[in-house]
Amino acid sequence: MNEIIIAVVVLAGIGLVAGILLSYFSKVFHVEQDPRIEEINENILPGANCGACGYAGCRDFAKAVIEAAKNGEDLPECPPGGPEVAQELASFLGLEHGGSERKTALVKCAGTSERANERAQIRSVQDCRTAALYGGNKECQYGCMGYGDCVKACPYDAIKIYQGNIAIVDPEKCTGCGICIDICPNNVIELVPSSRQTHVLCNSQAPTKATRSACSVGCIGCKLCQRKDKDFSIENNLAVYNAKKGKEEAAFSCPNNVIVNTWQFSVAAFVESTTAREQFAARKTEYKKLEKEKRKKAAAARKAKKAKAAPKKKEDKSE
Amino acid sequence: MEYLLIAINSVFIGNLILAKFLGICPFLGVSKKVSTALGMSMAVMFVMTLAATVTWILFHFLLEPLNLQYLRTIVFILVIASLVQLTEMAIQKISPALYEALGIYLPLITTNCAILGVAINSIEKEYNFLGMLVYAFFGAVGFALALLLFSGIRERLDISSVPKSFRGAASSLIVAGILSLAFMGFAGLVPG
Repeated sequence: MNEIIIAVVVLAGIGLVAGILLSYFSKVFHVEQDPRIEEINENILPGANCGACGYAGCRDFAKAVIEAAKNGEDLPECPPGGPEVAQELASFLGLEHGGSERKTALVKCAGTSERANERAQIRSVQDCRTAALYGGNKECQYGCMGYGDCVKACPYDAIKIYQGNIAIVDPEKCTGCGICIDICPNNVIELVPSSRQTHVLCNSQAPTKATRSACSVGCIGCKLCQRKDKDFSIENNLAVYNAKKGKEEAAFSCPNNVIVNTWQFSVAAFVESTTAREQFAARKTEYKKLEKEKRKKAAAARKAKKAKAAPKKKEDKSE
Repeated sequence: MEYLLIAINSVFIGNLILAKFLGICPFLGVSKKVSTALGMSMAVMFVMTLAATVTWILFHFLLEPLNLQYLRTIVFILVIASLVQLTEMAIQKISPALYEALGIYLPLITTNCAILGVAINSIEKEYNFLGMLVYAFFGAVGFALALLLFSGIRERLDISSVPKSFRGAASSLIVAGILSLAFMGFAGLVPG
């Protein structure tokens, strides 16, 4: 009994001495620090220490923010915090909001097993990165292989694999951390502004012929979208969209339904359900009909104008 | 002569990482670059000597007289943890430059098993005070040697063309194994 008491007393005593020493020396060795760092770290930042910003934890990030504000540089971005945190940081430091936008991951592929041709069945492995070594399971070398490496990597459970073997990101759950982007061997995933409602659902940089034979919903780089909307550009046989919102007409102009807009349906609906695509196609034909009529009317108006102008000229001459 | 033997023993034959397999975590974690490995080694060298000294004193002048040798593990953990905290604060105040250099590595090695291993080993081997000092310091030198060797190799591995499936962690672990094998060759260098 005595031994136990001695052991407990000794251990507690050492702990107590260490604690007292620590608290005493923390006063003696106190270093003045910018109190705003602690404030930002505790009250504004998410505090998950996820490292998505590139700093070693939220405290380090707070330090960098203060440093940047002092030098008048742009504040670093906190990807999980998004615009709310950026706004708070800016108002806390008395700066104008820098305008960091919330971003969402987007799988730029709609080539489900019915739409894209299979190249081979890889039975030995069930993950994308290994399958990529074999050249992938689809004829298209750029698309989503659907083994779900990104699903396993996503810390927020925001990605799932649709039964047609395409990964789909849930924009509600996605925080835009970008972990899935590093995992994907085919670089199918891209961060897009969350407010963007027009998406190019293809990643194929193959030439027109190869893309067309490999997949029914592949971008062939025809440049029709570019004509409708100057925010589109064609890079490496692939349409790229740069602005935030996007005109509906651009989406309607795409002959292969690669460009979709999400006014009515989500991206997931375009990949998963045929009804969404059918309804979209219906709206498209309706739009095309309207446009045709418009063109006809315009042509008729031009003709009438010409017809009017022509007799006048004759009269002029006769006079 | 005796101390020289202890030094050689703790650097090569009983190398903490490659022969005793202590402190594998920083060995794999902070060995991507030679510069970070150097920072880590410096911090370990500093803390290891300090921790071994304090725990040796505590063991021989507090635990032994009270017949409480069985408490040494928990006492050592307690003491090392608060000691590292204390030195971190002191360094931050006294030498901000050193604090910046050691940076995050100081708190990281609070719970490093190599530190605790050296503290316990120097008791187990019944070294006197000077022997313990030599053992702890050169143990840390051995740690630094292994870490620097490994990080140098890893830096080269990163720029050479390794087959895709062996890249990164896989080849690093293989290299660690080969390094360990090489150090096993020192066994028997010093009799006893």
